[in-house]
Amino acid sequence: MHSPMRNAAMSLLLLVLVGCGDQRPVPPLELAQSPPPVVAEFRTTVESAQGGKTLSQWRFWRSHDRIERENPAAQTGDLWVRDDRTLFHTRLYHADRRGIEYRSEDLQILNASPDWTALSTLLDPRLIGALREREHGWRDGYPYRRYTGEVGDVAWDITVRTDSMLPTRIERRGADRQVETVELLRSFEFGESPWQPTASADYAILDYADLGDHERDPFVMRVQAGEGGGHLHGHAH
Amino acid sequence: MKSHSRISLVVAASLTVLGGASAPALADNASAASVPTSGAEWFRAGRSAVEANKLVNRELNTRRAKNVILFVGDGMGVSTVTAARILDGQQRGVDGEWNRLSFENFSDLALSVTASANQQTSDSAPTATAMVAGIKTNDGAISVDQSITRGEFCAEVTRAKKVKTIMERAEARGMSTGVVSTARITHATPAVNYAHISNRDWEADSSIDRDLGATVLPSGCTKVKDIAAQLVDFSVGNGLEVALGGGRPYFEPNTKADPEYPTRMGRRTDGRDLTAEWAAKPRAAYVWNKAQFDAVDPRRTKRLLGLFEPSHVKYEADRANDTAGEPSVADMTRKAIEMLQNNPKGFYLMVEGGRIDHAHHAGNAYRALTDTIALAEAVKVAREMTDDKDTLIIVTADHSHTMSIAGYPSRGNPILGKTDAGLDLLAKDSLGLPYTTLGYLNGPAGWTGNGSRREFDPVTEFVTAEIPFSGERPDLTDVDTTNPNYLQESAIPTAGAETHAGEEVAIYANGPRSYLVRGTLEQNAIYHVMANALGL
Repeated sequence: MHSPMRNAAMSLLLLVLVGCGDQRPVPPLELAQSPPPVVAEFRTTVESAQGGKTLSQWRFWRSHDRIERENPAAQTGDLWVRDDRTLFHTRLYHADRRGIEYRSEDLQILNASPDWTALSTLLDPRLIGALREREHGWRDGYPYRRYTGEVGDVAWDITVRTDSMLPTRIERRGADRQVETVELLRSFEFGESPWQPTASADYAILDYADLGDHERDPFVMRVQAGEGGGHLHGHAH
Repeated sequence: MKSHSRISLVVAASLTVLGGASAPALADNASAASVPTSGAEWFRAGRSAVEANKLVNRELNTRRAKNVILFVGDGMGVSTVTAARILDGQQRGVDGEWNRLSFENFSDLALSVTASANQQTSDSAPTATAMVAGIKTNDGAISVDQSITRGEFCAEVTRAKKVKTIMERAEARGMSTGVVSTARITHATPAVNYAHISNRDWEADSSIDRDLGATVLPSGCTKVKDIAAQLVDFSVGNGLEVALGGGRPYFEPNTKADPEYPTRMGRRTDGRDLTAEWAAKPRAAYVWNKAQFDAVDPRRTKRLLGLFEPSHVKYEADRANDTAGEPSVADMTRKAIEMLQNNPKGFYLMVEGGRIDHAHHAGNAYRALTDTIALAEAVKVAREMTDDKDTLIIVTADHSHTMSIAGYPSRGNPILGKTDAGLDLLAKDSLGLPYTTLGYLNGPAGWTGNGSRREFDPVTEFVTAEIPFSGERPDLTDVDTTNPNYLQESAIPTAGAETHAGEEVAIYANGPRSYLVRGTLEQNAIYHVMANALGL
């Protein structure tokens, strides 16, 4: 039995509930906190001023001391392991079943940021700090905060899910009018995703410092020539 | 007890000639501030160096050596020695150009031709083999001759091709032996002393198995033993006494977590725990951190294995940041000599500064130079602990690197800085941009493989900026190129590593028969000098 009065009451209740949802406090983005374990899939789109467009889709696994990224199409990946004060980064080449391992000091020498927070959240805290929060709220049942602004010649527009501490969208618009966009496609609680990282435990891992002594190794020769595999975009530089 | 008779005489003579000033050729670093300041002083300084050499030639040390210490600066070419000498002086506030590293005051010097049997520019395996086995061989070969195929799995074939090393000859005579390295102790340069194998990469059994795959060995062939196992199983004489360096996982089973970095596992698939096997030997010790290392009593310990990192030990510049603590190359050298001196029959020791090479490969001059200075400190320790009368010390490199010292910087200009043009002006290239004194012919800091280039961010000191290709060099005007993490520019881009270089390297020698080091020698002559000095 659906009386007009009852329908009106139900509509009001729904309105109140939705209204309450919109008004729930949005958790702050606390990048200094340890982010929760998560598995996610992202898509990176790079559009040049000339109209060129490249797409890459990549997966991301994050636990407390281990981060792994993988580009299934390029058959490449990156593994970061944190061991006390030491960070190990292994660039994985799945087609070759090989990897190149970098230690913290190697990363410093290569001027490659070893910031664990940036690696694990795909967000550079310094960049977020330099942007202005434009809005926050709830979307699809998840809390988010949106940050925009310009740093140098680059315009940024970043939306972050504050519960999982993952970006849902990063847009980077350069002075050269190139636009790079990273979008979160799907995310899962750790252990509940349909994918696992490609097993690499038995790969031949080469210390980065040893690259120079493998001048006749066909794999190393390809790496030296910059043909080692696709480039994984995805974090806010 | 300790005698540096020749040097004392020479220094005394030089002091006489100089009227109290220090002699440049043989003065130690402490006197390096005495830079001539006039034409007359330069003239006297030059003459005194010749007078000193006249005395040296009159007093050739023809004695037989009781001990031999071979220092190898991996990749320590002449330009590296020059730049390290200048940096060392500038860091200590004295004239860098006048400064000398400890081994630059040695009495004898030669050039070493580093080409291997099949390479114009060599890798470390054949060059190190040349130095310790007296032959030239092919790329990747660890103390086996050039007739072997790289990747030969057969132990019996390998045995037929092996060449006896100075360490094996010393052990056979009853001497004590040791090897110290800042690289993995299974890396090519230390490995050539105790191992014989066709492929330098076979540091653990799993590496051999991976390459072997489904290949079936020919009848009569057994699988060659990996380098780590060859170290622990080394049985010539009574086996080597000291092995200090990096490379723990190559000695530990893949079921065992690393003690310093528990997320990492051993690399052995044969189930052997070589560290435990070593420690089970009589009066033997295995250590993996500095506290354990410091606690080793060299009088009571007969054998010492120290593995301080999963791979190479830290660069000297980063050593203080190590989680568990690591000894310096000078610390390791001191401990090794203290232990080896227990044998009245004498000792043979190789000490490698292995990371000079790695820093150059990365295009980072700062770490290459600071590791060179650290090696020079180890040489100084060795000299202080031994007697010139009975200990031959040789310092050399296995090969060079592409780093060069360019431009016309003023004397005293920071060696890691930008080349000046006097009057507080920077020298400029044809684009109007300043440039550094040190640079590489090739390497990772040049144009990158995708047409863009990496640049150093002076704000973050770490973050790489990918600069799209513009046809121009970066403007270094506001960049602090003396920062330890700065990568010197390279002319030719390589995405992974800078390469070795093929010119000669220097051999510095001091002690019995050091006069045999003269002229331009093929690198394998170093072995023959050591063997001659020891009477082997």
